[in-house]
Amino acid sequence: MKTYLIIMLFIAPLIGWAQEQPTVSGVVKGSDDTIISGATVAVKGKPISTSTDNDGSYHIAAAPQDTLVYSFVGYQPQQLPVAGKSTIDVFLEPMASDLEEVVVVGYGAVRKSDLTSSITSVKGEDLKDFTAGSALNALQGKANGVQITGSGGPGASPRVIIRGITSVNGSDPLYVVDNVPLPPGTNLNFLNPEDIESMEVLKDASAAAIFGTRASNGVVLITTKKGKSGKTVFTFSGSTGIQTISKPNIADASIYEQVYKTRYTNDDNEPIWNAEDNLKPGDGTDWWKEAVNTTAMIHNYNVGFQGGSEKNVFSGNVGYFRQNSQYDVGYWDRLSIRLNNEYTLIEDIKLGIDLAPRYESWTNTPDLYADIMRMDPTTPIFRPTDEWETNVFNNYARSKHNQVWNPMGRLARLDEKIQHFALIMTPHLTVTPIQGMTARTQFNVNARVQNAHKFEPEFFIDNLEQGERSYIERRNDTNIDWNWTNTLSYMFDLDKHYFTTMVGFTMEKFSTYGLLGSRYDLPNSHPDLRYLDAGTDEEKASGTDTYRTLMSVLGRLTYNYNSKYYLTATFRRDGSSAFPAGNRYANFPSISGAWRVSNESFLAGQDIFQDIKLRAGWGRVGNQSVAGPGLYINLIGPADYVFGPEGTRYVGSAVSQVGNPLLTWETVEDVNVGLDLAFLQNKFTVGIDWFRKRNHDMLMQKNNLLVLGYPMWDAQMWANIGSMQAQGWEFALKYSDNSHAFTYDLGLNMTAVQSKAMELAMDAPILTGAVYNDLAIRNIPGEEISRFFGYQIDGVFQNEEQVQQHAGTDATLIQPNAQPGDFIFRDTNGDGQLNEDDKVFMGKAFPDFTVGFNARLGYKNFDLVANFYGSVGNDIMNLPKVGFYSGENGQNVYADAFDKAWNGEGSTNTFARLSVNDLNNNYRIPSTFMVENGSFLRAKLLQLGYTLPSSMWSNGQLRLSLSAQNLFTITNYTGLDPEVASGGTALESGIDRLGYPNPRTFLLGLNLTF
Amino acid sequence: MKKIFIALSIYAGSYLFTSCEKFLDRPALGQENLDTYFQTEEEALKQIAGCYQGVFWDDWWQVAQFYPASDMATDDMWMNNTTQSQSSYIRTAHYQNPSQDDLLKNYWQYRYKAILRSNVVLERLPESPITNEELRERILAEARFLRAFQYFELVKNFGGVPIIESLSMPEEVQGVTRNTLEECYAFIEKELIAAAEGLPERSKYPSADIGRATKGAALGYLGKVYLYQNKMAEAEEVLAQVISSGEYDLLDNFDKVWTIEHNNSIESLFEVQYSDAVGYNLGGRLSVITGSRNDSGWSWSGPTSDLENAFKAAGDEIRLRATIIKHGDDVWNDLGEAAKNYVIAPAEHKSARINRKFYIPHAQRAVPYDGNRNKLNHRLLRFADVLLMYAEAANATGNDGEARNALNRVRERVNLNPVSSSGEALRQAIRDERRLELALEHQRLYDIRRWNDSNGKKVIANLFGPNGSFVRYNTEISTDTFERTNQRENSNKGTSFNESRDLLFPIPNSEIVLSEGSIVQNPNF
Repeated sequence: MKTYLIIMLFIAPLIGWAQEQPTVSGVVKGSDDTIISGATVAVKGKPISTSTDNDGSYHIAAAPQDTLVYSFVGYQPQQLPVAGKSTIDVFLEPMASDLEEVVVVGYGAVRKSDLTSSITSVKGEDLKDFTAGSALNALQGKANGVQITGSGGPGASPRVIIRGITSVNGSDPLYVVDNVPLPPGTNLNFLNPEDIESMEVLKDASAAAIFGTRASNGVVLITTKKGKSGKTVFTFSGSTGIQTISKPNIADASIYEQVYKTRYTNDDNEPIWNAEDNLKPGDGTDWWKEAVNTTAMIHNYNVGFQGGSEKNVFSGNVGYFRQNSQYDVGYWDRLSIRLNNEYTLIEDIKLGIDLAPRYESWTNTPDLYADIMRMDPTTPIFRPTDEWETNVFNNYARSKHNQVWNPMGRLARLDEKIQHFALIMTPHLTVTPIQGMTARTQFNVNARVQNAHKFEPEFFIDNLEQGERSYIERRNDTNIDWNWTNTLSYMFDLDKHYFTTMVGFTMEKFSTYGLLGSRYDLPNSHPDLRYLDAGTDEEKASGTDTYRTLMSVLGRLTYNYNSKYYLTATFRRDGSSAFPAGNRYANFPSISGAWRVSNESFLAGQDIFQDIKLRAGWGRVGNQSVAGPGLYINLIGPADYVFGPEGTRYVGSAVSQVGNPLLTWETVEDVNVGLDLAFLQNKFTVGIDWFRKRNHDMLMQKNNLLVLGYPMWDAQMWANIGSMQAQGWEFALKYSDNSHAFTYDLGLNMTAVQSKAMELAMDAPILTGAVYNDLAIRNIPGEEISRFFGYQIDGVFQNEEQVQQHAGTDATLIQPNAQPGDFIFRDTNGDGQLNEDDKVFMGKAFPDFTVGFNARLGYKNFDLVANFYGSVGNDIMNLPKVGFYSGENGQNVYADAFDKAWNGEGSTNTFARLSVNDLNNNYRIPSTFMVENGSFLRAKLLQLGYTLPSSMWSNGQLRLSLSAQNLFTITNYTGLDPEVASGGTALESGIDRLGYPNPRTFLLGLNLTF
Repeated sequence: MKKIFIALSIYAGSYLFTSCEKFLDRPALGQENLDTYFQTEEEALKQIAGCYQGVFWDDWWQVAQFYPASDMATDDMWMNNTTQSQSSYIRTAHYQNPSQDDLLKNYWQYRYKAILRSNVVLERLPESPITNEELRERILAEARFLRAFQYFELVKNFGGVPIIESLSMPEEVQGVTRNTLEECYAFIEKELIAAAEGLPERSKYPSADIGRATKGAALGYLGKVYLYQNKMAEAEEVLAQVISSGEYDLLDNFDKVWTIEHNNSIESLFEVQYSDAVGYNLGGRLSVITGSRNDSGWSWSGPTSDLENAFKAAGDEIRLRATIIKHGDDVWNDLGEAAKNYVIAPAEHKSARINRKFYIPHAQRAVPYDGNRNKLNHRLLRFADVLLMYAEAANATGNDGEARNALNRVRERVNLNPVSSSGEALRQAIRDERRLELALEHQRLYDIRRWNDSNGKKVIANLFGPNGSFVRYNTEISTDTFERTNQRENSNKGTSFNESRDLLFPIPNSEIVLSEGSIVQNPNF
């Protein structure tokens, strides 16, 4: 149901006196030259006002020294001194942060001024400047309370955290597009950002509770563009650009040789050196240069139209997006179409059809940065040509000194791609049987077919770098989700009491049909043979269906008294198939209220504040995001063995899942208090919120003791194991103004939230963050999540004497295997041994606060868009650094690794000696060596635009733009990308695993409207 | 019309709501449910087959790789591979505290996963409606045998471990502690005795069931369990039962013992069954893991010159050639061209030697060779072992005559002169024989850990440590060119051996941490 609650805003009558005055007249127009009728024109400080006529004209009595105030719903008020003039024509600017804006809430919409809960609304216009496959990348830094952590790579999905983490079970919010909740794990890049009219982030439970079981991480509502009656407007926008990634400071073969050999000689071992000796600077293979292209292209084109008549409104867009990876392989592109139509059949009955077909094509981007950086630089790309074989994949060289597979060989062999075909169909019928009542039914089908291809050639480079057999795989996953939403709303008022009620009933079914076929031993690797039919051995097929269903009743009551006191109550009851019978149903209520102080009579007449509103809310939401159906069941899978004299296969079976029969939802309870202010003629708006979200019965896949013998890896089992809490505040400030030829639009927002694990299963800490067979992250009950624990390094042993002095009270050495040049690990508890009990808190993965700064500045026909995003106070475990300074397992190192390593008394107190055996575990256990400050401030977008003056072309609008995305990042972090490195899951974030960095992108753009 | 529409949708909505339980009932599809299993004999048989799979699992990394690794920790084997990162094995092979290593974690984890499979059978089969009581009893006995096998493997390596006898929920094992070594052995003994009662003799199984646990296997393992506890009289008695059962004998030729043709031979009490079936991971992997890097192998583990010298000192050519392949030799009993002047490149292999027992002649190799389809069954308990265990037990109880008879049966097969000594000299002869007969068959580590030398110390403590005889042989005495030249694996292996620590392996560190210390680490790790 969509209830558009439209209440006129009555501007409090100005109190003053009447007097004979000269008259001022003129016309009020919008900045787009449209005539504004009904605009209010008032004399400042006097009880004189009038409205404009149908032609926008007005007459008002005003003295020459008076100031006139022009205002109209949806436009910024303007004040102009009369200054003795008798004719004043005024152009009003549309309001940037208008309280009259309609904000979409779950199963309906309200005026922004009537909101009682915490919702951030971002217009599609503000998401368009940033060129990315997913609107979430553009949303970063624009919505307070929302932390978005990007990851590079074509089509990658960023991590979204709304108001901290209250569940170990993923932080993804529920995405709802045009009233259709999408299944968990949805990568929002399926949606063309150009199609978006607005994005509403429902942050507190009083807003989100209407979405019940899936709303515990917040809800992102997306409304797509709809038609408008009037002249049909055509738009074209295009941007094309290049992406680059900075090359890290990796050693060449000569430095590599120094480090490599020194590791052995320092341990009195003979180096296992398989290359020429005494290599010179610049020698060897520069793997980065070979594998990573300096530039990769990105394209984004859209053609759209919007228009309609009284009987029929329509909107359509065709978009094409393509992003290449930095490798020769790997790209993602998307062709998407959206057609939204609504027909008025007969009076009060409207039939709408929204259609969104889509085609996507991916070729997999390899996860290769780590290998490229670690690969032995003394190894050439290819073996000598006289050893070449007809199978080209055999001709790549094996690393001479480590186990890294030849990255160029991997790129050459990679043949994985996915095609998506999808169609979203949404017929909907709206009936208005009596005044104020609307019934709406919507049936949505979201059908997706994914066709994945994978081929692996047969090749032999070495015993340990070979594919014994060629392999072909075709995977076909079909998803059919349907969703039936029925709402009935009724709006009425009694005197100054305004009521809106809504009741609804929904059914949803999410179905997955999987089919996988594979074969081995293709005749050869010719592209024409890379099909299942060509495989000659081990013909295999597998597949199953999974279904998840949800059935719900829901309702909402909103009430306001005289636009001063607001109350909203919502209720939802969900039944879900994810849980065993008996645990299936749950109720999710919420209540919230607001007090518009600015509408109180005691504040009438002041013109400093245009809006003062206090909000408070409470609600309960749920989370059912478990990995699959039937997690409460003990399952059986195949476990074959062999019996008989001939060694015959015997079909066996064994337990494959131990289920948890007690599984049920997790529930988040949330309180929110907020204050909204608008002042100085709405030039400034401020929003401040404080919130606390507390999770109970948290669902989690927990590592259990291995002695249980569960078939799941590390004995992991889903359970309702505890409680988490996120508490914090957020702040948003906007300033909009214009003077002379300048326009300003500035926004600053900050979010500070601390997420804590309150109770965990059996009160035990949850340890994650595998670092060299140790676990570096401890999630301790009552403490913040994802904190790093390890050994405190107190410098480097400079001589044997220091090694001997580092001893317990009984003179036994604390580090018996240490020698000069090794790290001194602190025996924190002073018990004379180094063990688990000595680990100290080293840092935390989540920031103290995140900050977004957005500016849109205009001067005449030029405009500048600047978006900054920052994260402050988080630490990163720079795990790659360890290998790049130790050269462990013969991997390549940073160019300064040899110079920085300890090489004698007094040389350094921060880096250990090079060692092949590393008996002291300098670089094998989590320690303060690995932890760095991960704070950063990134210039996400700087865009300079130029709009062709209407004097040159009056039939439409043409804007050219030049933009730089991720142009620079201010940080002390020494790894590839502090943003990517800070990602991860709730309980395991902030460990740098060398993921695909966010590229720096330069784009040229063109927008055309006519 | 509007009213009709509203009425219709309310009607439809309420209709659907009444059938909501059905709408919301969505189990996992395509998978069977344990709680409704064990309805038929076939289902019970499938489950016990799954328990057998847990003996060695279906790939190299769960438990199989641990067996050569245990030999690397003895005087019989080097780690051997000197071209690759040795980090997976070196801390086990060289006594450098492997508590953080996946090698041990996987071994521990997959032994307990296999125990759960037996626990499921033992808990659920008694309630099954099947009517073939004989079959039910046999399967239960098989499950008990396999569970005892799993616990024995754990106890040998880690000492006392938590005994888990059921499918439990996590809260039921909160604060679980290790059972003592005595409790564990008592449990294993009880299980093996019960298994021996319920299992048929090997000859009573139909041919299609070859490979299943037998009464002989249960008694053989029971004998070994007694022997490891120094319960010599009990060991002697139960092993005598096996010998006199008439079910087992030595093969006539030692060369046949580790060949595909003699899988499940008369000498076999228990072995891992392998198949060359395509696409099911049912073949053995140790041939590849321990093979020469120059012949599609991974060269993890290689015999020492010290072991070779032991064969030579005994004048034992027959078993030497069937146990050790040395670089440049023609491989014994492989007629293929590739086996002539066989390459085990000294630069890539510490000792330029590999294990002949797991080596598969080229003509019999699965194609591709690395495809986990090799049919050489892995012998876990064979009759020669039973004879030597019996000899050891009989010698300890003073029955030297019986001991000599058993010992000389083993020696006779390889044309060695009978031993006529007695007492402590006979004890040494039995120990020497055990090393040669069962070399590289994963017996040595546990033997040298349990045997005391005449100086009162453990044999292993005399071999290893800074002044250990094996360490001094390699660092000072050895003239073996291969081992002395290739120092990419350091010849001082075992110098860091610590008698107060290294008689057991450490429990995986993650288990100590996850249990919050209720599972206590072995001393000094």
